[in-house]
Amino acid sequence: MVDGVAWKIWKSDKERFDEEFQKGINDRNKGNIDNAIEHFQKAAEIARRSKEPELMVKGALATVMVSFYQMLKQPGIASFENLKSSLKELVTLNPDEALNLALPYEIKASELLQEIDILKDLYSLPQFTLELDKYANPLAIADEYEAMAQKLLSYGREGFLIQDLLRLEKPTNIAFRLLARSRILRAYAVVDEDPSKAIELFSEAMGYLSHLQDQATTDFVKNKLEEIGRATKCWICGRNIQGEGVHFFYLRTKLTPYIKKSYGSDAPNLIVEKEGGTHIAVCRACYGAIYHLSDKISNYYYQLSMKALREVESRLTSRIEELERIVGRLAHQYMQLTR
Amino acid sequence: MSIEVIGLRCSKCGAPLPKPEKDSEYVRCEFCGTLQRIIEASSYTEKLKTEVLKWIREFIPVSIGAIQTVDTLARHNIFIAYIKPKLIPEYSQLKARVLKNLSSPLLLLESIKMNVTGDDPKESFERFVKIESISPMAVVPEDQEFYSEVYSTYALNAYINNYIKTGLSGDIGSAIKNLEELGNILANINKAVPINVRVRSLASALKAWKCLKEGDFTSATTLLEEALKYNREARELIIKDPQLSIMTTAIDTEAMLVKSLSNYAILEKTLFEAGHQPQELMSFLDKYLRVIENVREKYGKNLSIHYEMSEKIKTIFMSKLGRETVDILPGQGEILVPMYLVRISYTFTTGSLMWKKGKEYRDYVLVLGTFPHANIPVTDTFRLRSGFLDRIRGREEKLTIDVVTNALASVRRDYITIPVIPPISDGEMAKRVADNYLREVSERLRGKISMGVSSVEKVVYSPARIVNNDIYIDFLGEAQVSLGKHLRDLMDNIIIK
Repeated sequence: MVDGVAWKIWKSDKERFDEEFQKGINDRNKGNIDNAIEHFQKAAEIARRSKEPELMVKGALATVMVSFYQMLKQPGIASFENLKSSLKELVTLNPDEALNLALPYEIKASELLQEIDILKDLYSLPQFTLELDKYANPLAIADEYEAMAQKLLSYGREGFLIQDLLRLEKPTNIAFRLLARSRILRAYAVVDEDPSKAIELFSEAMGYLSHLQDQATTDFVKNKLEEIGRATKCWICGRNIQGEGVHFFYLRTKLTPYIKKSYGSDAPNLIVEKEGGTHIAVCRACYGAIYHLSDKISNYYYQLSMKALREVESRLTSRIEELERIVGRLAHQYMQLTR
Repeated sequence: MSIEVIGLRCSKCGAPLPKPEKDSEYVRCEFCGTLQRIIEASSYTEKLKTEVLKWIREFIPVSIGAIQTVDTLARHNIFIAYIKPKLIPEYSQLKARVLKNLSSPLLLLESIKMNVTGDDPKESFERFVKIESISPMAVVPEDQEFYSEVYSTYALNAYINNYIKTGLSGDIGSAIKNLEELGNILANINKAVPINVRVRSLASALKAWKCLKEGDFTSATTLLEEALKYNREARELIIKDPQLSIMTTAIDTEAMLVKSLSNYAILEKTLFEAGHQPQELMSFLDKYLRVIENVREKYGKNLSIHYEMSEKIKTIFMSKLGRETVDILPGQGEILVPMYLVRISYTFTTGSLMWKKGKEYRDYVLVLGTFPHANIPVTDTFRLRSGFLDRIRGREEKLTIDVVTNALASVRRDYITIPVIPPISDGEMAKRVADNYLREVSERLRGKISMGVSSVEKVVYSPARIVNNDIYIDFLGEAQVSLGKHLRDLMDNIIIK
């Protein structure tokens, strides 16, 4: 305790700051990030309360270290925003201040600020899903992805300075991934109107994906290209049509060998065997017409049966009511007899 | 339909042939270099015309004669109803293939292997001719806009495929001609500007390479500056276009290759001014680039390794001419060997019981820049054995001997005056070698140490004596590196005397 008092009396703010900062570095080196953050926070606090001008930059540096390791613990928009604002403060005081981030190279505060600015935008992007029907406005998201990709391609470094710490891909790869996604979203937006354009866009997505390792998306795009690229004739109206699942569908039917032989080669993909049965290609127009007509017919029969049901119900209701009356009367007579 | 636009065509590649000279029996294709009989070319052209007519008849239900006289509205209707729907599926697929080709680096220097194959040029030119033949049908602006996109894609496909084929076969003249012609075609198409700028960059770089080989370093330098200017311009344009951004990596790699050529151009000029023949450098490069390519292929290295190596080659030659200095380690020897200085750090535990402590130490190892041509590529410095008492009481400060640190204390900046083996591996490979070594050491010491991150600082040159068909570096003592049987190969092929 006596030692402790002497300690407090005789150590300058700078010495106390250096001690806490060094403890932070040591804990960081050992992988104790929470303790490291605590020590950097204490160091920043010492600098904040101190009147020594020398500690102004050092204090800002300690604050950067706090927000940097908080960001590493939980990368997200808020932590990037926090780091960005503390870096801005440090850069205003000394843009060339070197940061010790346990990397084999030195990073200047101004360089890191530039990078964090990009990473913040990157982490702010909307999530991507291959369930494309969940997108209300795919084109707006495609625009955002493309703008970000352009930023990444203009970044000017082969890798991010803190790439290893955040386990990030190279900026070009991220840009290519975003561009592949933007192509997918644009293809999805246009497929109803222009399947050929959709194929073009999916092909472009495939081009970008060929530079990346993303099997799930690659398979998805490959599948879409096959489906949308598939062309045939409508069995009913005979029109040429392209885009399975969008512009034509398969309907189950029964075909004789004679029909198969006579008309099966009228167009590719006209007849397919799947799900244990024979299916024929039908364009969306015919499919829609059949769908709506059958809907109308089934509705008519539904109404008829409902009407019949209602008549039966009404007959039964009046019969039940009559029976209830008889039972009521008999109950009344029985009560009188037993009284 | 204008079948007459089909002039004489090359029977080998399908490209247009120049007008034959009067009374000449032969004509040479400027785009593939094939010398052929005019009669053969005419016969091929006639066959091609028949095919084009057949193709047109397949999707236009009116006779060719009638089409030539139909009015604008009728042409537009034919274009919309028959031509466009027929073109779109094939066009979409072709566009994807063209973009795929363009996503690869396309600066085809015969000494450097490129991972690009391309399609058959003859078939590509035949497709292009078909597209050219329907140009009279695109008469309204909307059709013309679509047609010009299709036209430029088919032109790009034909000339790039022919460029790839001729370039890979080493016919630089024809390769350049294909790029130039493509540049002329694309010049009139607005949407093709970014690709055209890249094509111009490639053409300038290839011309520069041709000049370099012929010893014309002055023209080469100007052309390389132009190539780099176009390359930067192309990059700026393509990153704004999400469809073309796929070319970014390829353009960056091409920039690296252009920069390496610029280094060689500077070197050729300097050597010439010092009284050397330009061919001396080219004959060295012929062998050296082959070695680099083998290393690149074996270790899956990116093409940009060429830039790093060209920088080092430039420094070596400049140093031999007394224009630049390099870091030379102490010692005597007949040759200089390149070594990467790799910074390492390690922590280890020392002491027992109450004396147990953790220590951290930073040191260096040297990695031979000739890797993979090396028997022992790294200085094995983890050889320090402290005394028993020091180990028990935790007094060990380090586990490495100081050979490298001591040598670094006497490193000098100097000119190269003796033969030197140039580096053939880059810094990244040296780091990998050092990391492998550190892993081995960690296993050898059974977990006593843990290694920190290593980093390559620079290349230094070490004088080496030749003893028993291997190198011997005085200051390394027991931590010798070894070239073994590779020494002879390196001395015979790429040593710079």
